Amino acid sequence: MVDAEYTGNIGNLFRKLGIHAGDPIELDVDGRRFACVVLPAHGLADMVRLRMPDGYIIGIEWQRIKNVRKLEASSRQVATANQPVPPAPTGPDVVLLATGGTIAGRPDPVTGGLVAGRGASELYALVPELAGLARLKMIDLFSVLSENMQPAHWVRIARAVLEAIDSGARGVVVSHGTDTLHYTASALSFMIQNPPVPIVLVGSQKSIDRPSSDAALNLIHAVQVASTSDIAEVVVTMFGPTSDQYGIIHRGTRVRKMHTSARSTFRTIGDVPLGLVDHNGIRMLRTDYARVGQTPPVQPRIGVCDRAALLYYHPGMSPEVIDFYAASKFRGLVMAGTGMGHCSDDVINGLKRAVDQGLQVFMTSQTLWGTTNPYAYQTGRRLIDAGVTFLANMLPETALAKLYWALSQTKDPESVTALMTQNIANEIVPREPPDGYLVYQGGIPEVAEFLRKERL
Amino acid sequence: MFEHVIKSQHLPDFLWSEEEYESLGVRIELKVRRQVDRGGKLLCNCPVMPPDSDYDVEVSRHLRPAAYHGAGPASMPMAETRCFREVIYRLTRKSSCTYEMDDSPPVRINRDALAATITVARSMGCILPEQSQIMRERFLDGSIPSGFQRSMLIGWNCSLPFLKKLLNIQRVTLTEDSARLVEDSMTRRVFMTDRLGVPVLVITTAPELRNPAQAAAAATLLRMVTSRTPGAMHRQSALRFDLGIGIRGAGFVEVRGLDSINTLVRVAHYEVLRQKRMLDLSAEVNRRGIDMQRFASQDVTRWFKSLKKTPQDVVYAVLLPGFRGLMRQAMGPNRELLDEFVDRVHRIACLPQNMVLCSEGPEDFVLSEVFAKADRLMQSRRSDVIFLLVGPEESVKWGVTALTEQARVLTDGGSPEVRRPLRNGETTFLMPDTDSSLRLPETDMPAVPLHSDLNTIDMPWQIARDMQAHGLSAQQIRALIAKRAEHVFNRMCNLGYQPTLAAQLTLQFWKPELETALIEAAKEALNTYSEPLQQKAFIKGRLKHG
Repeated sequence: MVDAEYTGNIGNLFRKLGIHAGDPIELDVDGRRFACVVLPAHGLADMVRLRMPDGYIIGIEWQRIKNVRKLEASSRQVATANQPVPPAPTGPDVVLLATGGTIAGRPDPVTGGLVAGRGASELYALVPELAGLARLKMIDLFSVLSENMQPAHWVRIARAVLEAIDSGARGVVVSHGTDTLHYTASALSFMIQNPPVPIVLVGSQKSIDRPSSDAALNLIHAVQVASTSDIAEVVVTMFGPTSDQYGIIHRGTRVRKMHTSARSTFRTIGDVPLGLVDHNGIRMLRTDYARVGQTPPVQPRIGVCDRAALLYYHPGMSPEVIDFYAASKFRGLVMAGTGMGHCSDDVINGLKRAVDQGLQVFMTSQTLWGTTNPYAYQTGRRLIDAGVTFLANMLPETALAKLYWALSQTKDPESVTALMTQNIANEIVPREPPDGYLVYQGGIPEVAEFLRKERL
Repeated sequence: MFEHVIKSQHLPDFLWSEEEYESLGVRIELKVRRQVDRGGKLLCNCPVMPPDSDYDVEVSRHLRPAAYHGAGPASMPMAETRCFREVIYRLTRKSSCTYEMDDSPPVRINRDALAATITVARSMGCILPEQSQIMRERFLDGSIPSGFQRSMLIGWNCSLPFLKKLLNIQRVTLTEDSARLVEDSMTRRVFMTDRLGVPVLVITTAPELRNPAQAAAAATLLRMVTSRTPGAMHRQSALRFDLGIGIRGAGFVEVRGLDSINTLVRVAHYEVLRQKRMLDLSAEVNRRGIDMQRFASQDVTRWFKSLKKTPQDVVYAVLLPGFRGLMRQAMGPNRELLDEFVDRVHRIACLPQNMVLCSEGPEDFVLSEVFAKADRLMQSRRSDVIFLLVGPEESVKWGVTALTEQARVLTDGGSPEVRRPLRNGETTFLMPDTDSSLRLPETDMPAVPLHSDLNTIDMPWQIARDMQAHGLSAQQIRALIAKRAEHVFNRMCNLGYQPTLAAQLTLQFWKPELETALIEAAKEALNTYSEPLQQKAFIKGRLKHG
């Protein structure tokens, strides 16, 4: 019972009058009478939360409230959107796997919090353009917020993607929360090798109910890529600039969320994205990608072992942290070291102890851009001597997802190392392009001039 | 007495008598919006800056309909989306951050602006809650990048001294201002974001005002009230009015963005007139027994290629059955029913007015040939009206929908909608009305505690009462309150000036930057001369020469 959340005098009175959350009531405050609706208490001890007739929500101290009376519930229906019936879908078959996150949510009219959406028909009503792009088969796999997405979920997604491929889908779209979307994209890249069709992960920073949401355009772009592109890889398609001009098609192993809330959050790191997509179509930016119809047979290698961790080195880090992982029988550790892949002498000592106890340690860089190098400084050599394996320019999150996967593929540490250092899904960029590291510095006159002309 | 202070002195001659408005059942709701410059913008850390035409970056967006907010007639937002009307925001680094672009959730609530608003609400005698939730209200004209306006309820339910009765106030809210429209064309709408997010105090009356004169008096009163808000801004455009107007039997219409009381009076009258005309015409339509089953539209592009402006354009003919003779009926001094149809098509379908042609439009030899042909194609009767819509196919199809909607509005005698004022006080369709009670709570911020221990400020009627006790005229009181110079008047009285003279001297000589000099000169004048004329001359000379 929601009203049970009100305690003490308020709770007693509401129980006596049979008042529940959502009931219309009339009451006196400061000697003036008005009608409103009772809302759930949300943990407030001495205050009543009320929705006013004009929709505003307020809290009033219990002592000020007098002469409460329950009113008859109004028969007024909450208006719903008068959406036109979408046209019948046409185009290739695309499977859309919904896994939760902002993109799948819609707001609860009372709490304002996001609740799950209602499936493909609702999606067509919200984004009618999708009907003209593909015949979508929507599968509600589960509804999990990004932060609750676990390696076990990756396995379920991978299996569902494989089923979709087996069913003859022209492409697969996975809608996903954005916070950990790049982990999932990496994991799928390793679990489904040589996919014959595009596997497109997509999310949104703003829920689809918001008039300024990026969800619709991201979905349109993702379905465009899934239904018409010749990319046979796991990719992420999300907003390019904050202006809704185009989406960027990122390789699943080279992409990362770079802003907490902006639309233009996903960026390809240390490389050039695969392409761009807008209402005119798809424009590829590179030619070295796997193409639909030209791939070897799909190679499913589904599995995860989550006895691994990612550690971000920082000044003051205690080697006891490393000792904990070794003692807790973790099998692998990805370090995000400083600069070219460094950490303090104390931590190196800890890593050596851990390696000696059987923990496999891999080094990436927290700079994100650029390649780790164990030979530029003495520290790197000491890490090599301690048994740490350097992963070139693999991104830390990609390395973790790969390690989870590699540990599930073999129990042999040498084979794990071999898998980790093998470039399976372009997670390592052998030739970092000269313009792969390009970060605008806002405010510099030439950047300001560019943005004024080309938009943000 | 206070009645004379707030009553408008110069109302236009064309207003009707109170009885005439009363007979139509006029109900008016007034919203007074005052910008507040206290502690920066409302929900982020950006400062409030003066209007500026310079900008650092442009951002382009397309708003989409919000499916769960009770969208009302779907055509408007849907059409804007489909027709790819682009909304462009111009931002300066000085006055905007990622919040303005809806790339970040609200950063903070501006406590200073909040305290200022609470002070006003308390002083007015509102009921104040202990806490208030920031709410989102759908706003689809593009003026707010997020597509909704955030606001919070500060107080409600109070009554202010008014003409011969009390003015009931529905609520006092604190909201964020929208962006400033600088360009509006068929394909794009451009906004400057300098005022976007500036705190705005909004006072909303009950829909109980009965005529334009009452609306003007209420606006004068609330202008005085809001001008006393700590941090109230006084520059042009810092104060705006919205009117909700409805006559018996017609829909309640909101007219937004009125910049003066003079405009407000004209708008109130012309909107009443328009609604009355709409009801009259509706009665005529219903008398004719129009058969909307005969409403028809058809792609007639191949017969009217000469009307196309681009090769991609299409031409649709739309038949409105039985509407002949109505389109040129006056809706106001400068507008006809035809304008209502054309403007709705223009707004909803993004078609320019000259691409919406009507068989009852202005006399044109070439067009009369065109419509003769269209009549044959559509097999129209003598009582029918034909529209020809020319433009991109998507827009033209939405244009057909808009014509249907407007025909329905006519048969219903009006519809709830939002309108925009024109220069002479008439109005034009802006968008369908939405149910603002479907506000949704802002999920990115917790409820905000409101402090009730803040001081109150003197309200205009209290100041007027004191001045009246001093024997000042209504005109003097009005002027002193408008100048917010009552404290100077009091100081002059305390120096020993007779109140009427103190009021004259204050009104004649006071400026904020001259306050100290004026008081010093007034002291000296009092010590040197005994005659008011001499005192006045002395003060004038002293202020002029130093």
